[in-house]
Amino acid sequence: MPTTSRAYFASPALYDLLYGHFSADVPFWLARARTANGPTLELACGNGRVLVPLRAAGVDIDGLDLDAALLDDARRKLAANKLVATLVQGDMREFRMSRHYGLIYIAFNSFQHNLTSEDQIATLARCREHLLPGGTLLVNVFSPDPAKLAQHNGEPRLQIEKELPGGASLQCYDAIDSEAADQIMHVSRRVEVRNAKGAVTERHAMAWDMRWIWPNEMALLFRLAGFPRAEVEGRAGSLKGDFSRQAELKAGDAAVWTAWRDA
Amino acid sequence: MSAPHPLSAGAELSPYDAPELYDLLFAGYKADVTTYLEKARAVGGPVLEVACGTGRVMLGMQEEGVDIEGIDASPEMVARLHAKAAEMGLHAVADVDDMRSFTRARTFGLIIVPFNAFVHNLTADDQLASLARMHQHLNPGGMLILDVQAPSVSWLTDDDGKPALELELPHPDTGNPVRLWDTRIKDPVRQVQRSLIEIQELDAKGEVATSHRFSTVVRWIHKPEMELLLRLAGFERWSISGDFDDGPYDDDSLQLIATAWRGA
Repeated sequence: MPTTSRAYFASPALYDLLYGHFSADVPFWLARARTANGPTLELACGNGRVLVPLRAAGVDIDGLDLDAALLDDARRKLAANKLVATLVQGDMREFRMSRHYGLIYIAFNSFQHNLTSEDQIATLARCREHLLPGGTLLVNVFSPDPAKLAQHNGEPRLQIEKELPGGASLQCYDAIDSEAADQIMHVSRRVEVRNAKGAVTERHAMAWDMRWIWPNEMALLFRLAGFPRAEVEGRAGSLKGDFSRQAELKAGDAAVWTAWRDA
Repeated sequence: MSAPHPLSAGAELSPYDAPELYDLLFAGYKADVTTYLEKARAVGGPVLEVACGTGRVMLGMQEEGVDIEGIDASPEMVARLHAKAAEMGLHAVADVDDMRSFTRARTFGLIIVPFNAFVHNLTADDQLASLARMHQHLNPGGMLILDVQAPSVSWLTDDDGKPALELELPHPDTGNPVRLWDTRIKDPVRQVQRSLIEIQELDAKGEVATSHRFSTVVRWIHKPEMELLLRLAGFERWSISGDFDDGPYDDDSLQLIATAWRGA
């Protein structure tokens, strides 16, 4: 039945610990929202890493996410900034909002929680339904890199390393196995927080599945979902704070797709 | 050893411009003919081979009594097919045509696209146009089978730009070695492989006596992408296997074999 992976980030605090510092893509989404002809919807908005700064910048934005705890945390962050936004708990494959949008976007690989073509197409089709005529859908997935896929051997690899206040540090290890023929990766993640003396003070473990999507395949998914036109651009795909546009899409980049609903 | 330099120039020719050489290398490959023959017998209806080349598969099946015809984009290959058919005493129906736009006078119970021919479609529009023409030419309930190379991760991460000895066999007349070297450059984002092919005919001393250079550009297809293409082209259902024994398609598969059915 539900093929979207759910056990992603049970803890909003842990999400912020891992990704709260990543904001390189926010100016991009903000710029697109500002030029949109109508309100904006973020799918898989989580606890508001992108949505809260966009709302703070005055964007008329709604959010959808599968996870109630993440949404509660986003509401708390909005309230702390004296902001309000409509946040709805729902599944990106079958959501229904009460209005239509000039822009819908799915940031930071969240679309890749769709594990089958059916789920992918259903999500894109729901987006199309919710766009105003001429509206724009933006989807950020990663451009698969065969060299990285070849490392999917189940061995833990250091994925994120961070200095924390007071001399503490965080290490995040991902062990990835994949079913390459079906483009599914099984990720087992282990997170350790150490104090200034190097002693482990927190341990977390989580697991989820993701599906990678080749660019030519993504173009076909847009066609099947009823988008007459879709284009891709490559952006720097690191977590190190760079989301700059690349001359052409390369393996390992962030692939940012733009699809337009016919006017 | 005399591996060709990866950047050897002067390879504007396609291997299909040299049909005799093609047959020298591939005429002995029969594994797919057996399977396609079985499928043709099970289906019963007439068969169309798309990209029939010099008739390695098509004439092999026709010899076994299958009602089969073919198209191919290369006039040189089709001319050789007709010459071979005449030698075999067969009346071959094979025409020069483009898989993206062909029209035949009849429809078929089975259409086959063997031996990696479908990868010559370089864009999604070409892929879909070809599949739509095939769909159009199937009887209700008819079956399409195509086999292409599997883009496994290990293949995708092979060293690019280094000559690989793909095939070596004795020349049928002299017994001296004939070698096929392939130097590939792959673009995983566009799914395009450019190949420089060098076919070397060695003399009795093991020196390269004659060298023939060709180039090809092909576009590989991933499994989920193949399924989307079949769906977009109007096929009712399909299955993907990893070998001619209907084995599953997985990370170790060398071939991607797509079977798709037109609605009844």
